Amino acid sequence: MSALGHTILLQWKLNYRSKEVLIHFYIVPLLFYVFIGNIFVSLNPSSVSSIVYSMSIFGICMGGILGYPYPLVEIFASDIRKAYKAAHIPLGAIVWSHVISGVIHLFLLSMIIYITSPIIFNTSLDLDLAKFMLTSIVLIIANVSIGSVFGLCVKSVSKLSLLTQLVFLPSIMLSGIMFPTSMLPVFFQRLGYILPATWGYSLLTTGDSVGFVVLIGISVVMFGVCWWRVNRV
Amino acid sequence: MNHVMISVKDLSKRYGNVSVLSNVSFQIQEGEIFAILGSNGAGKTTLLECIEGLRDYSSGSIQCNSTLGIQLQNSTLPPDITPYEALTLYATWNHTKVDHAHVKTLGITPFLYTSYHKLSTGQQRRLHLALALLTNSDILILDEPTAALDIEGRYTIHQEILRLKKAGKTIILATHDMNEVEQLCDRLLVLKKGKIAFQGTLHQFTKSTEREFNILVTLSAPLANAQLKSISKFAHEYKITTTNVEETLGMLSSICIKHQVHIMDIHVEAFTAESQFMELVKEEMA
Repeated sequence: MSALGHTILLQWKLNYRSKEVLIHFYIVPLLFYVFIGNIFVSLNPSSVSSIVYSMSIFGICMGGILGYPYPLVEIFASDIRKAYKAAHIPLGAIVWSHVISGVIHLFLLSMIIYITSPIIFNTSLDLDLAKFMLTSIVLIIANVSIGSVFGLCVKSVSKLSLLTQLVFLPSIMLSGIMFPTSMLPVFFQRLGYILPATWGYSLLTTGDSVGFVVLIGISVVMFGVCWWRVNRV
Repeated sequence: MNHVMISVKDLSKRYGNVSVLSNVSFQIQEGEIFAILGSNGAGKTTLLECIEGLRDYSSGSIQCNSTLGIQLQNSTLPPDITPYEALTLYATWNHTKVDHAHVKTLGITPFLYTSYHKLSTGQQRRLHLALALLTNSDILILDEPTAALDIEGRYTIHQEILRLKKAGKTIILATHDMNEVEQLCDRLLVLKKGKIAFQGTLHQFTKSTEREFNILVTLSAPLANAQLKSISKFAHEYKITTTNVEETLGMLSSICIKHQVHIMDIHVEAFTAESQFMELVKEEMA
């Protein structure tokens, strides 16, 4: 196995041992999915048709923006970074191992939501699986790219908790996953367009392919910032 | 003449107006153990990190004629990684294999599968030394490798360092411990406020300052004299520091006779290399 492959596998295992990662990647999103999903469906039975999209996007945003950066801050804001550099371990490989591991975890989360929704909410699995998987992956990569920027640039875990909320909360409130964006003032509707969650929800519900371009564009810009930051370290 | 492994010339490092290193120059020969000493803040770690390529420097040059195996002063790892996983990760990226005999010698086997955050400081230090050795480099830089280790741990590390020297490795050792220097090192460099205070062999170091002695004397009554430094007023104990014991003892006898005071006890102690080092850096510590 190549050194990068070995590092990705190790990072995968370390993610499972990290409380912060488990909480943000799996526990809270799945609990939210079960409890809040049931509340939504009770209040508005017609929302069952979009519950899979809403809950997936919620989980992906939570994992990618709130949970994913923690291990990166642990490394890049501490002497772990120096130890890796001194051992000739490329820091870019460390970042990529986190990205790939994070993408796999969040994809698993979205598939768990997809597969269990017929059981929990009595929906039918007539959603286009290929479209769902592709959109999930592109949305996950966009969120993980934003999380990577936080992980590489923020120097403490306490600051990370505050700053990531600046992206996560608007993603939940302005993307349309909780309530229709038409209910929002025009300013907030437009503000929502800079958030990956808005485009992810639009892709899943309307199939508008402009969303792919925007999400890929966000990912390219954010990973560009990451590349600059790693080279500066 | 041995091959020069590292050559540092007029190295300086400044942060704005603050000079951390100032015109530091030295060479390290192949196969020697070279110690870098200094009190906290003298610039040891900054110097090492410049050599390791982990920190930029303001001026001067550094030439390394081999790759480096590095144990940092504040080495750390992700909290959930085990020593086995760390060793495998380092070995993979350095295209080498984990030497299990080495792991056993350094006493890592008992905690090989324990999470890093659960290891004691001493256990972490042993692991970081093992990781530094994995790079198979001809030059090893060890920044306080025995800090926080018990006597047995220090002995193990010292034996390992001597074994590595015998195997032809060149070792740079940053340490606070003069005893460690006396046991292990061929040459030493003392840093004081970012500048070289001394460079040479241990023998040259102990000869570099005029050898001093402390005379500790207990008298039968208090005695006021500029040369006598009171240690304990109640026990009438005094200390005189001198380079000429015979002359000082003669002076002391004359003073006691003049003031009709008896000498109850007398003890002469020579400055050790450690005390000479403390004298050399005492202004920095103050």
